[in-house]
Amino acid sequence: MNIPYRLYIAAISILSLTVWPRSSRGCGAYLTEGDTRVSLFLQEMVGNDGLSMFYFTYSFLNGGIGEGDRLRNANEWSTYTWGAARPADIDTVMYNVPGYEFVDAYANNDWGRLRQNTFIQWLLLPQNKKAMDYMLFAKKVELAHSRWTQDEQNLWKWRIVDVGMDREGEYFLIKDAMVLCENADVAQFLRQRYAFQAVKMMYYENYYSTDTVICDADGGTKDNTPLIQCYERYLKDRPTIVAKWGRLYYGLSFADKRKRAAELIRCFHRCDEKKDFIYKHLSAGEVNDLLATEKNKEMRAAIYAYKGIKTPGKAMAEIKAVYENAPGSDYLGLLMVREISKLDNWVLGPEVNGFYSGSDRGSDWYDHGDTLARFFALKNLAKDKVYMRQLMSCLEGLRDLRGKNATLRMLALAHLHQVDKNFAMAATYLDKIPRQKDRTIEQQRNVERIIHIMNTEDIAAGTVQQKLYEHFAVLDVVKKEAGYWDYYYPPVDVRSELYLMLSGKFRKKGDIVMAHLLFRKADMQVNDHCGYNPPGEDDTEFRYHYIHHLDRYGRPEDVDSLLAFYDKKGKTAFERSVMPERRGKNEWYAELKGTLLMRQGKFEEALAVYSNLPENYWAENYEFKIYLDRLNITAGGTLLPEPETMPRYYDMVSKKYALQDIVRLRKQLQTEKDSTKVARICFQLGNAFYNMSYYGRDWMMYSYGWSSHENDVYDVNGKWEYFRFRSADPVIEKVYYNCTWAIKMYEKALVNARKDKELGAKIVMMLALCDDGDRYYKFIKKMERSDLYPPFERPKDLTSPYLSLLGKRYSRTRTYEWASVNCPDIAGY
Amino acid sequence: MLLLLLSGCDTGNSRPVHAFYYWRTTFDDNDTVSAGLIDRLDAAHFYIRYMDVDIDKRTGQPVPVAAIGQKNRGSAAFTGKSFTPVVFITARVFGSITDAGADTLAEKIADKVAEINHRLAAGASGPKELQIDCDWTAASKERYFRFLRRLRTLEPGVELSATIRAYPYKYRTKMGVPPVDRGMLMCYNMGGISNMATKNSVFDAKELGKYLTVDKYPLPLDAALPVFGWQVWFGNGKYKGIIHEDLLTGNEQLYVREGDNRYRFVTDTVLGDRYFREGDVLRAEYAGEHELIAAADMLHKKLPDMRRLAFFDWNTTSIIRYEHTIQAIYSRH
Repeated sequence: MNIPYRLYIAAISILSLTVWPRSSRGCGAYLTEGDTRVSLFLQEMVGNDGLSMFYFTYSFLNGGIGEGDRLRNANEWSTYTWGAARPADIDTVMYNVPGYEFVDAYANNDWGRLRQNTFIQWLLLPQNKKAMDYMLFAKKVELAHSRWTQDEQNLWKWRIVDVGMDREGEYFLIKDAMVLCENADVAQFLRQRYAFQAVKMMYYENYYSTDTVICDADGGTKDNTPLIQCYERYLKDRPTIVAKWGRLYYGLSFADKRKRAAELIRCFHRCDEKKDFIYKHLSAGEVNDLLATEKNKEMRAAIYAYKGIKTPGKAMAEIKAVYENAPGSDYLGLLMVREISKLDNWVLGPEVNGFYSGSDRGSDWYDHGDTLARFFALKNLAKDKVYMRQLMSCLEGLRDLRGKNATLRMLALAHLHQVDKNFAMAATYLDKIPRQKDRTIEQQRNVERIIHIMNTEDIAAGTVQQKLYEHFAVLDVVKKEAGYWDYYYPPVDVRSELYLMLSGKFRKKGDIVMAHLLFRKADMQVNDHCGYNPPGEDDTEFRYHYIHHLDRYGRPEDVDSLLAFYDKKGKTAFERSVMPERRGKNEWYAELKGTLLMRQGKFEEALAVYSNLPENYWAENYEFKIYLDRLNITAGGTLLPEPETMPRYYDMVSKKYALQDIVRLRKQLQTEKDSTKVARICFQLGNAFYNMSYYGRDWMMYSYGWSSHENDVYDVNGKWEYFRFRSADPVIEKVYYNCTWAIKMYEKALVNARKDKELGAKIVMMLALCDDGDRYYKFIKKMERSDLYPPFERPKDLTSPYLSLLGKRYSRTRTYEWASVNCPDIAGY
Repeated sequence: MLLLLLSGCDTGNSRPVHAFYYWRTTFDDNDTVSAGLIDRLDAAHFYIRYMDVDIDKRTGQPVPVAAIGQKNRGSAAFTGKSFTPVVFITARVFGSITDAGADTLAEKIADKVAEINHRLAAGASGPKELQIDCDWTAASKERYFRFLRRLRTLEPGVELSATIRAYPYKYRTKMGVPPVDRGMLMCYNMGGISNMATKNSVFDAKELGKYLTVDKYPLPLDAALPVFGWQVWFGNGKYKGIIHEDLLTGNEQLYVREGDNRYRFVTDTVLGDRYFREGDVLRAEYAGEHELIAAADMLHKKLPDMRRLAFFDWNTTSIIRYEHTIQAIYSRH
C-alpha cells in the first residue's frame, strides 16, 4: 500500500478530530478563579487583629492564625512569674520546644539550648516546682496527642513517641488534671490551666473514641457532663486566655445546637486561635438563629460579622447590621475590604482581563459571541453593578466610623466610583484623603491615584508618566493572598495588576511598544497564552514572552520602535522603570519582524530582514528545527503521489530558504504567460501557503505555537510552542486557520490547469484538504458560540465537495486511481 | 488493644465475593449502621485505602498522604472481614521520578504498608493481597511497571493486584498490561468531568459497553462499579467544582431541570461556602439502578471468572442509597 494516501486520509480525519484549535475554550490558559482574580483593594489594610485569615480569597481561608492569643498567654505567664520570665522566652518554650525535647531535658536535667531561657530558669527554681510540674504535664499531653504523627523529616515514617502514654495513659492524664484542679495547694493560675488541659483532653478523647471498653471504664463515653462541669467550675467567665480557648471545647460539648452555636460564636469573638476551627465547624445558619434572643449589641455585631465573613456572596446587609450594633467594631474594616474585593472580582475583573475570572474564554468572548454563558455573565455583571451602587449608598451612610475604618470607607468609596467609571466623584473622595502614616493604607491611596490618572489623563504625556512613576514608586511588594497558599498560588504584587491595566490603556491608544513593555513588567499569569514565565524558570534562551505582545498586536515597524526604545539614551524615570530585566537578543526581534512582514504578504521585505540573520539561525534557536521541515516548502510532500520537480530538501531548516523559493515563484508568476506553467507555479505557491498553515508541516513559518497542550499551562510553563496562534487581526488568523492564501492560489492553479488533468487532480486534492480545514474550523467556532463542545466524531456533512469533484472530473487520472486504491473511501465521495 | 481484627483472606467461592472499597481516612463510620449493612449485603471483603502517594511540591519527591489509622485504629463493624490494602498513587508520580526512584518508592510503600498492617493489628500473617491504584499513562507505563515488578519482588508471598481503568483495558497495546497477578477493572469515571458535553463522567453504561468490546484481558480480572455520585458545577461555561448532594437538599426551588441530569440556577444564591450565580449549571452524576444492573450483567458475561464484584465506595449514606440496587445485582449473580 502506498503511504501517502493513508497520510492523506489521516490528515483529513485525525487532524480534524484530535488537535484542532478548540479555540475559545483553549485560547486561554486553564487557570483557576484565584489565578485570574483582579484584586486592587488591599485587604492587608485590615487584619492585624487576627482577622487576616478571612480575607476574601479563592482559597477559602487565607491562612495565618493571629498571634494575639499567644502573646496574651505569654504575658499572663510573665505576670505570674512577677516578670522574671520574658514573654518571648515563654513563647519559645510554649510553641517552639517539642514535647519530647522538653520531657527529655527535664528527665536528664540537660536544658541545652534552653539554658539561657528566662522562663526555664524560673521554672527550675525549687519554689516554682508546681509550675514546672504543670509545664511537664502540658508537654506530656502534647506528646500524647501527637505520638502518631508523620515525621516532618521523613514523611514516610510516623513519629512514634512512647512515653508510656497510650490511650489508657491519656485517660490517666485526664484524671490527673481533674485531681490537680481540685488540689488546694495549686495556685488558681495553674488550676485554670490544668482545667483547660482536662477540658481539651476530654473533648478529643470523646471525639475520637471508638473503644468502648476504655470509655466505659471512664464512665464518660460520649458523655460530656464532666467536661461541661469542669469548664463551668474553673474557667467560665474567668479573665484568662485559657478560659477563652476552653470555651471552644465547652461549646462543642453541647448537644443543643443553639447552645453550642452561642458558645462558639463567643469563642470566635473573643480569641484568635480558635477562629479558623470555628469557621470550619459553625454554619452561618446556626448563628443566625441566635439573633432572635441575643440582646447584647457587641455579640449581635459579632454574629452579623460572622455571617458576613462566611458568605462568598453579597454581605452588604451584614455590614449595615454590624455598623448599627457596634459602629466601632473591628469587623467593619474586614467586611468592607472583603466586599470591595468581591466587586473587584465581579465587576473590575471582566474589564481588566476581558473575561470573567474562572472563565477560560479569551478576551474575544467578552465582546463577541452569543452564548448562553455570555448571556448570564452579562446579566450577572449588570446585577453586580447595581449592587455596587447600592453598596456605595450604604457606605455613604456609615458616617460615624472613626479612625482607620473612616479612612477605609473613603478609600472604598473612591475605589468603587472608579470601578463604576465615575472618576469625578472618585476624585472628590481621593482629595479628602491626606497622606497616611499607615504604610498599607498609604499604598492603597497611591493605587487609587494611579487608577485615576490612567483613566483621566493623557498617559502618553511625559508629565503624566512622571506622576505615574512617582505613585508606583510608593508601592512596595504587597501580597494579595498570604500564608499557607503562597506556594500553590504565588502572591501577586498589586503593581502587576496595575501594570497590566496600564498596558491595556496603551494598547488601546495604539502604543504597542509601551503596551508590550508594561505587559512584560506586569509579569503575571493571565488568561491568555502569552508565554508566561513563572518565577524561577530560566529564560535566558528565547521564550515567547519576549515577543508576545508584538506578535499578537504589533506591526513590523513596532519591532523597530521597541529596539529603538531599548537603545534610547536619556530615558525618563518612567521609561527606565518599564525596561525589562532582560531585553532579549536583537536577532529574536528581527526574526519576529520578518514573520510579521510575511503575514502581511510582504515576502520580499521579509526575506531582506532574514538575510541579516545567521544562516543557521532557525536550526539553532527555539523549536524551529523541530517544527520547520527541510523538505522544500513548495512541495506537497507525502500528501501527493508524485515526486516534485523542485529540489526536495534544504541543507538545513530555514525560513530564509523557504522564503527564497516563495519569492522566486512570485516573480515567475508575474511574467509567466503559459497557463499550464502558471498552474504549476500557483500549485507550488499553494503548497507553500498550505504548509505554512495550521495544517501544514511548516506551520512555524507563520506561528510560534500550535495547539497541542492548550490546557496544560502549568506543565509547560513558558513554552509557547504548545499553544495556539492568535492574532488581533482576523485576516491574519484566517490565512492560518482557514487557508485563505492557499485556497486562493490553488483556485487560480485549477483555472489554469485545464490542459493537465493530473495536475488538476492534485490541485483538487489539496483544495479538499484546505476546504476541509476551513469547514471544520468554522464548524468549531459555531459550536462554541452555541456553548457546545465539538463532538468527538466529525460530522459527515462537513466533507468537502472537492472530494466529489475529484471523482467526477478526475476519476481517470493516475492520481485518483492511486488514491482509490490506497483509500477506498475516496471512491465513495 | 486490637481494634481491627480483619483477616487477610477470604474463602473460596464460585460466585463473586461481595466486596467494597473503603476509601476514607479514618474508621469513624457509624458502627451500628455499618454492621447492619455488612450483614444484609453479605459484604465479605473490603479494599481498604491505606494511603495516597503524591509528589510533594516542595521537595519534588513522592510522599504518603492521608494514611489511614493515624487517629484511630479500626472499627468493630469490620471485624472478621477479609481485606486488601490499597495504595493510590497519583499519575504524576511516575512522570516525576527516575527508574531508581521507582525502585525506592516500591521499598518505601512496602515498608509503610507493613507499618500500617501492624498499626491496624491485621493479624500475624497480614493481608494476602496488595493492590496498587494508579491511572498510569502511555508515557509513564514503563516506570510504573518497573515499580510494580520491584514491589512484587519485595512481597513474594502477597498477591499483587492493580486497578485497570476502562481506557487501558481497551487500549492495552498502547497502555500496556501491568505486571501483576490480577487486575481490578474500575468501571467508572470514564468521562471528562470538566467537559460540559459529557453526559455523566461517573458512570455511563453505554460508554462502558464501548470499552468492553475487546477480547479477554491478559490478566484475571475482578470488577468494581460505582455507588457514589455528585453534582458537577459549571459557571460561565466552565467547570467550577464538585457539589455534594447534602448542599442542595431542600433547595430545589433554586434551580430548574434542563435535561435528563442537568439543572440551571434561576437565581444567585449562597449554599455553604459556594456562591452560585444565575445561569450556573449542575450536572447530576449518579449511576442509575437499571444501568448498574445492566453493567453488572455485562461484566458477568465478559468476566465469567470474576472472583469479586466490588462497589466503590463504602460509606453508609451511599450504601443505604444503593442498597436495593446492590442487593439486586448480587442476587442475580
